[in-house]
Amino acid sequence: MAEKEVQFFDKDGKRVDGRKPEDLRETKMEVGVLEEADGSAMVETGNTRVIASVFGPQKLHPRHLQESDRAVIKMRYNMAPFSVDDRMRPGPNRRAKEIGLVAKKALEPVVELENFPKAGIDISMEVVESDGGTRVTGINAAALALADAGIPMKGMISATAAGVVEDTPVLDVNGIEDKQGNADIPIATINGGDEITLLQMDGDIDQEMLDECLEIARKGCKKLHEQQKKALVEKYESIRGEY
Amino acid sequence: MSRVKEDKDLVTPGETVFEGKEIYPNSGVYEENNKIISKYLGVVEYSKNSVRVVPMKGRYVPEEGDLVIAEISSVGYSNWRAEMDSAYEGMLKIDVAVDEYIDLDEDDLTDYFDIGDAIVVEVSSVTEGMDVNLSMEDKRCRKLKGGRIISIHPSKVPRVIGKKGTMIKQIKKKTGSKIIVGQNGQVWIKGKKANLAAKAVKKVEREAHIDGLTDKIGEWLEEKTQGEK
Amino acid sequence: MKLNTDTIQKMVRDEERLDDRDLDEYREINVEADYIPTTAEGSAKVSIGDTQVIVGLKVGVEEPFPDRPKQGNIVTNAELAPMADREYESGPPQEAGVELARVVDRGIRESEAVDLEELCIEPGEKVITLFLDIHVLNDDGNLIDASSLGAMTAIKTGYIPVYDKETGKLQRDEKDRDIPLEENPVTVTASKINGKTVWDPTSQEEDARESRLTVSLNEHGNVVAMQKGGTEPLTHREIMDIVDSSENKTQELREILGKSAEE
Repeated sequence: MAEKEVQFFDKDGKRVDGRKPEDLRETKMEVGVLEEADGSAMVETGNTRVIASVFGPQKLHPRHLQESDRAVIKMRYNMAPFSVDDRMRPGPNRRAKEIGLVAKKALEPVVELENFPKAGIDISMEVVESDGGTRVTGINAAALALADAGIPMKGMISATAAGVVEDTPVLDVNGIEDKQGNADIPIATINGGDEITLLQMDGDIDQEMLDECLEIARKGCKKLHEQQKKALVEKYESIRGEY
Repeated sequence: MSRVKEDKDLVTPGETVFEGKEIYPNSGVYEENNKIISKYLGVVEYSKNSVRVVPMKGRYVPEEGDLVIAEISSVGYSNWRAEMDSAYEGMLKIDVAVDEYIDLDEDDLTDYFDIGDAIVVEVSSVTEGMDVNLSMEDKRCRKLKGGRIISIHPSKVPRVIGKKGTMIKQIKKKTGSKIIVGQNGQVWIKGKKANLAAKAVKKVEREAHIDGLTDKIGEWLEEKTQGEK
Repeated sequence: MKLNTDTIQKMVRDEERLDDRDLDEYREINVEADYIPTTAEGSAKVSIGDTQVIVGLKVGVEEPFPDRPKQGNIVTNAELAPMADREYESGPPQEAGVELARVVDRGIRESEAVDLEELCIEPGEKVITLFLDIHVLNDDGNLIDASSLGAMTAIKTGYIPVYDKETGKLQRDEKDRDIPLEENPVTVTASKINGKTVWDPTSQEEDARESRLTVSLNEHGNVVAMQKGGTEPLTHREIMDIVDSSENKTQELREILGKSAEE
């Protein structure tokens, strides 16, 4: 993609994809998309698409990683080679490792790990199409996959990224806003409330702006949470509807 | 004090089911700030003075007294190990596995159970550290021969068996099959119409949260066996 | 489970399978072209029964191989994602992924489906490279057939972007032309279970088989690639019988390939 001058806001204040600053991208959620996995989900946010899977509780190898009183979560984040404009070479990289780690930390607080001593819960996020916000979309999918797998949780985790573009806080940054904007702030909350389990930031903004960003991000998480709840019961409601 | 969710409602983790202290939280829910909250994607079930949420899915965790279908995974000096489609495997010691006397130096344990054998076995004890002991002493225990084993979610086992066994008896009768349902969700089926019986079991699993399922499955089986000798 | 493997082998002798299919019957096949519209230059999602595979095609500009200065390249890669099977969680079996990629690649390469000389930009300097990335999402058997179908669909419905000579870069959002196709190969795999030939095995059936033979045929029915797998041998007669049956099987799949490429 050529680095041409991007007009982030048109004369009506609409963003490059026609959204208002506080709008989420169109989001689709589908639960139970894979048969082998114990739980799975696919989430599409704009042009970003991530599939998540959960296996567990199951045997944890190698044994020295086992915890005697709780389950251990292993989290993997991977981008398919065709998920980005310039093909990504297959294989682990440091960015993927870091994202796996923060995503795990985002989800762990709600999972009742003590129910499954010595066991492992393996979560995997595969990005098949990327346009900004892959880690937060992955977290939304992983939370759905955990619920689908029947892992007990105190609540649902929903995540989104706020950003700052031309001194304006915006919600759910897409690829170009992330690359060329002033800040990218992914956050995750419990049950769409005010407890934050993931917070990262890179950019250069003042404290007031940060406060505003957290505010609109939390609102975004709340909306996504409502959508997650619907997506989880949808499959079973529609089976009821068959009769 | 109020029911935020009604009996048979579908709920998700973190959703409030009941507000107040009038009833107590049973399985699948927890209490916080005077609210009873679901831990699972599942179905709400009220009893006289409690409420629980039955999860739609979940991998098997062994419990004492469960009758399960397991597969022998290794043979030791005086015991076998068996997998139960769980994070936890079980140990079967010879004194509770076989009636006859075994001379550990002379006899070969694989004569009784070998790797890959499928057995119906009882979970006799589970320690806090999740050490699981198995026993074949119950008369329902045996080695399985022939047939096939399909998997259903353990949480659906009660539905597949039915009240007083009505659901599973219906499937057995209408397909002429032998069926053993393990509490761990492993279901053994044998018979000429085993494929149909397997389909019926999977159908019950899929539609477990629907009312009047026993009749609906009965009708479905009638349809499928019509025009057959 | 061993019990199931034994039963599958027994039932096959009576021409029966666990899901009521005939021995030569494929499960429901769904092909969705252009599954990754915004970042891939060609793509497809294929499902055969519960097996699900995404194949993405990415176009790159590289130096040609020194011994083939006027030819573009095809590079095929396969990833058995950990989500595809519980066994894969402890690290996917690397060999299986490599074999999958090479078998899919061979069917396309040996049939000369893509005119590699048409991919030349500047002889000896710059050529187009087609990267085929197979991403297995759910493994319930028959990955080779699903991936091959996906790869051909991605090539058929994909495009080569405009190449800007001045910047030396591809304008990915602008289509220059279709990928130059000369042939229409289709790849199918037959399995031998307890002495009988079975098509489109599920994961459980794959555990019960003793050998398999993958055959790629071009549109004229010529054999362009083969791969035998499994621990037991196949006789000359068995191989020729499978190749003979492949004609019908590839025809079935070719029709599905044709339909999905049109939509």
